[in-house]
Amino acid sequence: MIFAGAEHIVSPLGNSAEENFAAIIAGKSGIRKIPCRAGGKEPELFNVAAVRNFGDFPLAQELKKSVTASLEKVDESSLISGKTLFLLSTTKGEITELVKPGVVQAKLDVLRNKVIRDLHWFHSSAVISNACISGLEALIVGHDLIQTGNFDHVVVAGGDMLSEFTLSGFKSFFAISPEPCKPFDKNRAGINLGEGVGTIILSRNEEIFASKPIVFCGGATANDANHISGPSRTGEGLYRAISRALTTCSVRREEIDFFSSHGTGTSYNDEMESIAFARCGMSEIPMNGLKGYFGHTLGAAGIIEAAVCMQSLRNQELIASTGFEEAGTSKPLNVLLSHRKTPFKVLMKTASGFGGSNAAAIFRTE
Amino acid sequence: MRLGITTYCSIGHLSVKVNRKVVFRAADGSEDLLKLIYNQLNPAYPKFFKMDDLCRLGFLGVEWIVKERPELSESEDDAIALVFQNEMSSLQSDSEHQLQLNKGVASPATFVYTLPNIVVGEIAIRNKWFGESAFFVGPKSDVAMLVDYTKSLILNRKAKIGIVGFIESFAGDHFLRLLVVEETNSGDEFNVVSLSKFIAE
Amino acid sequence: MENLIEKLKTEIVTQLNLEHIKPADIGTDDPLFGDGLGLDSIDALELIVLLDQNYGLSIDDPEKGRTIFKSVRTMAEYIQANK
Repeated sequence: MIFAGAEHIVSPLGNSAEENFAAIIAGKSGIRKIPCRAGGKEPELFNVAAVRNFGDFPLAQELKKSVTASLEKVDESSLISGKTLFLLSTTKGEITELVKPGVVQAKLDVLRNKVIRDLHWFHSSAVISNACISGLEALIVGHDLIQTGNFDHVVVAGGDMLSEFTLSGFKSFFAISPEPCKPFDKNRAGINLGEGVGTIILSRNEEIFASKPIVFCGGATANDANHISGPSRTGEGLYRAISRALTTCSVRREEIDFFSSHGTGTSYNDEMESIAFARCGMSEIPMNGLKGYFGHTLGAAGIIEAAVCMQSLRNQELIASTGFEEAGTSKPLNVLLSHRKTPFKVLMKTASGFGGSNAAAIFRTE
Repeated sequence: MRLGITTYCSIGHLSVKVNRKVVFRAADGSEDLLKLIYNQLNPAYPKFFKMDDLCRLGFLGVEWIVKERPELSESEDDAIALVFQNEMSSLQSDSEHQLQLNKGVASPATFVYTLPNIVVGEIAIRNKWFGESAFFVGPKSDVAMLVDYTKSLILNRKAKIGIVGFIESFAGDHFLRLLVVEETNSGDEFNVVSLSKFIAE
Repeated sequence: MENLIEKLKTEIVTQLNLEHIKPADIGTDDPLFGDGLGLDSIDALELIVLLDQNYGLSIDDPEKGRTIFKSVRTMAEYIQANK
């Protein structure tokens, strides 16, 4: 068995997984309307989830702090003496460096080295950049590499920052919602971008964790093979990722108590997900999308949202989706409308991204 | 479980080699190597011209592989895992987007290529492959992840075949080293030593 | 109008990287989307950028693009009507 624990989150909702979870329970959202640069001559107001102001998030520093905070929740000496991998998940890294001449400072490798500069004891480290599935993929890669005996422990951190680079790009796709996003809702109008970092530690050894960890079953990825930005009309990639995840984790679809989707709030993405979930026979299983709390945090999303899922399992409390008022997808979904304290065991997390990428992973209580 | 290398493909220095034999060489001083390779291969795939250089390079590498191994097109459509790495991510397209942004323009056709994994998408679309993929960002000198993860995908039966390697295109320099790996006792063994050696060739 | 139509055909080929197509090959009344040119959703967004950059016309709803970008002629008509 492989365990996940020591989860940590930095977002507008707080500086720990517990603080973020409490804020979610209290009904808070990290999304607010602030001036942002989006390619125009002047800043414009956008609904984003910014930790402070637009474009000033010190990504390297916050990743370092998050990794350090996570390490404090495990027996670090076990990680030091064992074979430990560090995985960084990010789509653009410190992309604001690109406004300066030369590209070297914007390299993702440079970011990785900054984050683990003082942690020489990592046996190896790597960066994963697979669009918005990066975070979930990093967890899956980490799991698989422990399972095949390559490593004993894997520290997985993910982060991305708000930037004019990214906001202008999504704006050119008309993907940005003027209002807080409404995943799966009839009147959904697009995404809100967000920023933040998250860390989760994986290990084959339950004993290293200060608090009882969650069981992480791993998962799978699959490609839509359809279009580089538009999701598959049949939800092919997500359907296959979920099916393959169930097989590889030896979990039956009937065992899933709850799932947390990608749910960006765009017309096409949410529709695709409803089709894929229906094909998997998951239309009745209670579910949510978490991007109404955090915005779309890109390379951090898989880690931050998985960490919330872990908190959800720890507290035995299902988290409601936000912004949902009226069903707006061709296939039905059982969108959870208010938080629910209830015993539950098995949770699936999914993600989808540009490039036709899709991922599904499964967490469970022991 | 032993993974053997069943096909090699390299692109760079004006040439394409498949299984270490030159299959195409452009004249010295040639510009736009990728278009020349496309014209030689002639896949009749106009989408190629919308791709950025990183995607064009990866696309062409796999086209040569499939030309050499047509049976790959007959495999189960999720049997093939695409596991790639490069050092510069999508910084070439990133720079183009930034340049346009400095002039107050944002082009969706440029922005969509500001992610390194789009090359996986283009290859998947062309070949109708619905399998696993991963994209690592790191230097040529450290390809352990490519080996470890590809092996684990095949060992865990999430894939039967891996197309794995380094795909880099930055500032007009193109560098591709791809291997086809599968469970077999023939061919060189797939490991960090053989992959690193091939990348250094 | 004819000058605008010819100009648009050249701009479309450039903006959309239609390498193997000559501007003269684009039929003025041919549907731009669908089988002919093989344009996709990103191309539709790029045409919005073209209208903005080259003609100063901004479109706030990509759905409007469906009627405007039906053919080169409908694009030209839109530009004439909104100059």
